[in-house]
Amino acid sequence: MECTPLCECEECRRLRPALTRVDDGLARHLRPPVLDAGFRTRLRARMARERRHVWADWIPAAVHFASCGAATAACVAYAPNRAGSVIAAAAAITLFSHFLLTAAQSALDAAGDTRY
Amino acid sequence: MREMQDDIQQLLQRRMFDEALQRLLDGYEQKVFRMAAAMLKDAGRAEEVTQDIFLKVWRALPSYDGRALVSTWLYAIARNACFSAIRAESYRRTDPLETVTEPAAPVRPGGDVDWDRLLARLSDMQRQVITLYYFEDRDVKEVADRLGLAVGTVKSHLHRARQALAGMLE
Repeated sequence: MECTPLCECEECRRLRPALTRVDDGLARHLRPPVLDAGFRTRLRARMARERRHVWADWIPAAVHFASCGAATAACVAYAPNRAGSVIAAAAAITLFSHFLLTAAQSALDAAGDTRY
Repeated sequence: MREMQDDIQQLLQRRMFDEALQRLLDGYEQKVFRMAAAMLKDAGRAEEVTQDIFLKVWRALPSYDGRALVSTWLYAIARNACFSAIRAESYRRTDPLETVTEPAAPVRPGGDVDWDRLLARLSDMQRQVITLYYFEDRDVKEVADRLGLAVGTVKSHLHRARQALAGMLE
């Protein structure tokens, strides 16, 4: 059975004074909290940090591959008759340095996480 | 409500995610905060979780497909974030048995009622429903939307919570 404020079942009739007291008391006690005025500023700051983080992850790898590519192209232009071995050596160096860069970045990130 | 839904859909179609978030904040930040406060029982923690919720919403906006109402989608994210925060809190805070004391009487000698103590004796769901009900100016439909429950279920929780509180006062 669904009891309403006008319900006249035995239990509700007996508890009516206490129910009224509960309703009045809770209406006074449970005032809706209001968000602090600085909420949006703090949220925007977190969003900006996150955006920078995404860029920071992406930029070093792009710069690394672009500079390795440019250096390889310059070496091939300088010694065109040994282009095959220059490209193979450049590819190996690029991958190795990318591995080092990723490891360094992870170490820096881990150090940063422990600060918070 | 419908107008805001259409506005947000249009902004998302034009991939204007920051503007869509702005509209969501205008319409829902206080509602989501009150929901978090009712669920977490701590306004400071509720503000942190509200920030987390809107950050999640901002990240998820590109994948919002418009099948559910934007409010339904947003409240589902908010509820999940609150449940995660509650779980994390309960893992962190475990009181050894020796420190748990008998609860003090909720009605003080002068007749003043310690409502916080009374509310703490309700089940989590009853406490959340009744708190949100008074935060939302006694709007049962709003409480049901916020907690993802049917209106009848909210009424039933409210009735049981009120009966329990009245019984404690007697």
